Amino acid sequence: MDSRHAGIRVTYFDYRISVDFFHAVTDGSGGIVFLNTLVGAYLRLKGVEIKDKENYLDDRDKPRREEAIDSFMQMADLKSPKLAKDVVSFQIPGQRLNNFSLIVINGSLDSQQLYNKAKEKNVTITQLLTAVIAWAIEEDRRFFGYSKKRPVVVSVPANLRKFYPTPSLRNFVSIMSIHSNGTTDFDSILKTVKEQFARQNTMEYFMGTINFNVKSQRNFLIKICPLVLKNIILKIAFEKYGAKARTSTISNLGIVTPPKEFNDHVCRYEFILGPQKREMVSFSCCTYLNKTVISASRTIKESGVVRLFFTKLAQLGLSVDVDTNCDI
Amino acid sequence: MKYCRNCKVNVNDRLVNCPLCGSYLDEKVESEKSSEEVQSRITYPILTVESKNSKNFLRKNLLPFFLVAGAVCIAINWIIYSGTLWSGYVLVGLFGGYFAVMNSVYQKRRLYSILGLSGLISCICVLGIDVVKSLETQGNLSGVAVSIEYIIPGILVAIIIATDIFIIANKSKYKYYFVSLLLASILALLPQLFIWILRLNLIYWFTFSLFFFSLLNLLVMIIAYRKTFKQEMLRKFNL
Repeated sequence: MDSRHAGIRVTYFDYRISVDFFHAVTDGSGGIVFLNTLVGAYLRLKGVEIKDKENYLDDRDKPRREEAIDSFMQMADLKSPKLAKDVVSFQIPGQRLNNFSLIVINGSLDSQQLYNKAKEKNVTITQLLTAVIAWAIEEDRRFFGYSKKRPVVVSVPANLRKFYPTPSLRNFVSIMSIHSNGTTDFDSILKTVKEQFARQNTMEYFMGTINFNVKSQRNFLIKICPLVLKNIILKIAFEKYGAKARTSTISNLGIVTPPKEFNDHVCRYEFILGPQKREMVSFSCCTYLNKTVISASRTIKESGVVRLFFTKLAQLGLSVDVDTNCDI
Repeated sequence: MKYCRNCKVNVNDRLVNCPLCGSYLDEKVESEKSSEEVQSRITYPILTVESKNSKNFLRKNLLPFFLVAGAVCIAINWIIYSGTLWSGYVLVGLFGGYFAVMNSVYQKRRLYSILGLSGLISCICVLGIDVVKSLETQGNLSGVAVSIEYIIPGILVAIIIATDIFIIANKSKYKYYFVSLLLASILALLPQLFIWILRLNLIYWFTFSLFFFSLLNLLVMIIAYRKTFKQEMLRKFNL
């Protein structure tokens, strides 16, 4: 199947429906709405009437203009400077799998248990998971004696809709870069992560990044530059600076709330990040019906970081059910 | 559910080894019925992974190989100079072979992309060969003629006509051929512009005809497909 020009791809296997999105199309929130709309259409064909409109659009409705507006342009004030500074981060070494094959290990845990553990540590779930990832990478680095020259940076996308509610279904996220402190002491890593979240998870921080991007978008010379050239230049710039700016990513979609009619037909949601050129291991999670599914996807053979991540969760007292798409 | 004593996690029944540490799983633990039910529905398409791929070896090392081959040829030509610049022809061939052929194969380019790219690369290669020949025979660039007078215009007129035929045969694919047509049309103007600006003493009936053919062709295409043309200009150039 040649889907090189497609921004969205829908596939199915047994009880699973998968939708792949190119990130230029939408973010996690928009993706969930699309998936729910698709599932709702199937259920309607099976005779199930969907009355609840939570995170769901009726596919028979005509699309509204506000669903496709660029919220970044609306939100930008073009005043605040960019506070984020990208650094060259530590890249997890490993033997690449061919053709960007993706090995996914899903860990399912009780969301109440996870929430209680985070509360006990006085952090949020995202902060806890970020700290565990940073710890796992540091521990893996210490064990194999990899160079400690570059910092471990975990990228955490933040949904800007909590700061600026918008009906748009297009991209509306910004990224926080959380640096590890270079140690393998979990509690100190957790403290560092919490401090950085408090500093970066603010309107001022995100506004700086948004202003930087919007200014570039509005620059006349960049506007008239042929798309062919922009594609080449941006690819090179991303390879050189963007791709090396983070070691791993943790993307928390939060609680998925589809229409109530789905509860009898949908047993689980999974949120998986696609293969990256430089970032070998990525983490993502979402919660549905009191179950949090954390997906660790990797493009390398070695499972060291992923193993350390899940065993750390087990050490913290959480019961984890693990599954994978590839028995390697 | 099975249990991995090493990692202290529960593992799906269908797995024989722990996906985290590879330990053999032989213990079954009791779990909630709802959890068992969910786990039984979780299936994946079979994924076979190989860590080494011989095809990737060639793809990764092709450019260095071409560069080394070119450097070796230049070195040999330099050391055993016999009045011929044969390494120049080799370099042109390697350049054309890599960008026009191998790049198109590995990138799995579609026809409309190949038309534009091959046209550009062919023109550069033909000009390159003419330059090397001129340096060989006359020691300067005054012998560069045939490529500008006949070969490059010939290649470009063929590409423009081929692109026109594809567009007419399948109007819905106009936007895909748009960039190739625009590129070929702009390139087609260059030979005659060079002759005028640099006041070259060359036979120019072919380049002159190509110049006006290209302009006329572009005008007709814009008028015939003006709506699509406007959309493509907006998409590609933000104009």
